[in-house]
Amino acid sequence: MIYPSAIDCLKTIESTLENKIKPLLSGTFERSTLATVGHLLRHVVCRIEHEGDVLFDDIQALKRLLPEIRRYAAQPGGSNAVIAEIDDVLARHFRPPGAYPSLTSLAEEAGALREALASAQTWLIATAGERKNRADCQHIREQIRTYIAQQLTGEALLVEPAFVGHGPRR
Amino acid sequence: MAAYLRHRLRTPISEVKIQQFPRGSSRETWFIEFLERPGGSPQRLVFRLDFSTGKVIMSELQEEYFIYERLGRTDVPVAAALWWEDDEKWLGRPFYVRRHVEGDWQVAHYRDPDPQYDGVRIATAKEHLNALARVHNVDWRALGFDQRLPVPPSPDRCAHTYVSALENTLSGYRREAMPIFIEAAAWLREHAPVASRIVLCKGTNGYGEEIFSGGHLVAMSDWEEVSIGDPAADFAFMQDFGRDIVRDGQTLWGLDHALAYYREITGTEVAREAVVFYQTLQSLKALLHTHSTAMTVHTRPDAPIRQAWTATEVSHIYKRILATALGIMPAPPTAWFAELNQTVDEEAP
Repeated sequence: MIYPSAIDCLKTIESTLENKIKPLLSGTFERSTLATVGHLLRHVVCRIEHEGDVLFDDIQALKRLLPEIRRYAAQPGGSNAVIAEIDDVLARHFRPPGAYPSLTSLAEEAGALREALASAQTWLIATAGERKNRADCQHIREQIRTYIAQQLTGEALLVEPAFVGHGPRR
Repeated sequence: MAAYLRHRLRTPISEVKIQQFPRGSSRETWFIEFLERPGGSPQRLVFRLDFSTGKVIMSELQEEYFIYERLGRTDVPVAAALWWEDDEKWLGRPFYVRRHVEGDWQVAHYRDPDPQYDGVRIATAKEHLNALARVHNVDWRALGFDQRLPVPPSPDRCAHTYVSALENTLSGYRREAMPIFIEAAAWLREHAPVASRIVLCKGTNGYGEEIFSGGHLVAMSDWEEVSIGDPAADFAFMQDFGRDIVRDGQTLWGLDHALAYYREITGTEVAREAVVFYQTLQSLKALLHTHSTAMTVHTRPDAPIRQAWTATEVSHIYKRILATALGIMPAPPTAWFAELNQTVDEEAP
């Protein structure tokens, strides 16, 4: 660890802006801009603290969900295109074996997995009318919705503590 | 700016004052005051342009100018559109100019919680609904709006047309997959109401979006989200004027009162359920806008800082609203929404 940490520095910057700079500002535009800066600094703190974990968990959730969708798509009347896209993304390597999982590579991996999910969703929705009474169709869509809730819960960790309860944004 | 005004107005210009409107996240708005002759009365114009980093919202600036120009031919209160400027040498990008309307987006005592001002709040809401009724009565075909905006083929397809337009727009700049967007669009199609009429809808409207003077609405502003569709959409995105005013357990005003008043002045029934539906649809649209903003911030370090806020917290809360509609997450607390609408000029010193 290098002290002060990145988070320590950001908190010092935020405190300086609030206590030293803000009292000097009289214009609405300047005070509005500074308010936004303060919120975004806290947002960056949250991302430093949690973004790696959030992306890691998201990737694991997608790697559990996509094979379920693949099984459904492999049934009669399914979609070869959906199967191929899922197979392709699950086989891809987003970093060399043993390499440190940087935020960029985690984001790339989560993004690619979500693209495959989006394609599957589009197919599922387009065919939902003819299959809406099938339990397996309802089940797979329910699993997707559960995943979405989980993904947004993770995103909330990066956003909500930074903004909510901290006053005007603008 | 003085050089531009001299060029455009072909008259001597002096004492130019320029002020940027601090609110508004969709485009830049600049107030320009100047004298055409020494000792004369100040002239005021409003310059409207996209951010230097690009546009945030899906409609084009020129479309907004078109809307102002065409509405100027109706009884809808709008600032007069004066001219469109294509030449980028002046401000670095195209812009249009409209006449400044004296007034303020704030109404005296509107936000004062003292019950003695409930009458002000209700009268202001009715004033706005009168203006909204005029918008909905506009002959949009005769004015050519159907040449610029998607038109629903029938009242039961208003929401479908709206959702399809959003999907088409998103496909033009989508950077990452958004499973919540796809799932919410499907949910909206499954739950679409039938419109009572097909009308010109203002889009974003209500307190903070219009100009008042002496308690009267003198100009409707912020037309960048105009559409043709269900009047319920305008109630869904109406800021503040459908909010409950409750005293001693009695509801003096609220969405039901607003809908009843609208029915009284127009004869048109708008169902509360349809309004709730369009509130969800508006969140889908807002999510699309925030994604566009995110792309601007991603590619332009000089993006206005407010766009970074729009792309983070604002984007997130719209996802939460959509997740609530899908029944997969609890609703965000109402205090959060109240906080989002606060500005520093309302903050205690």
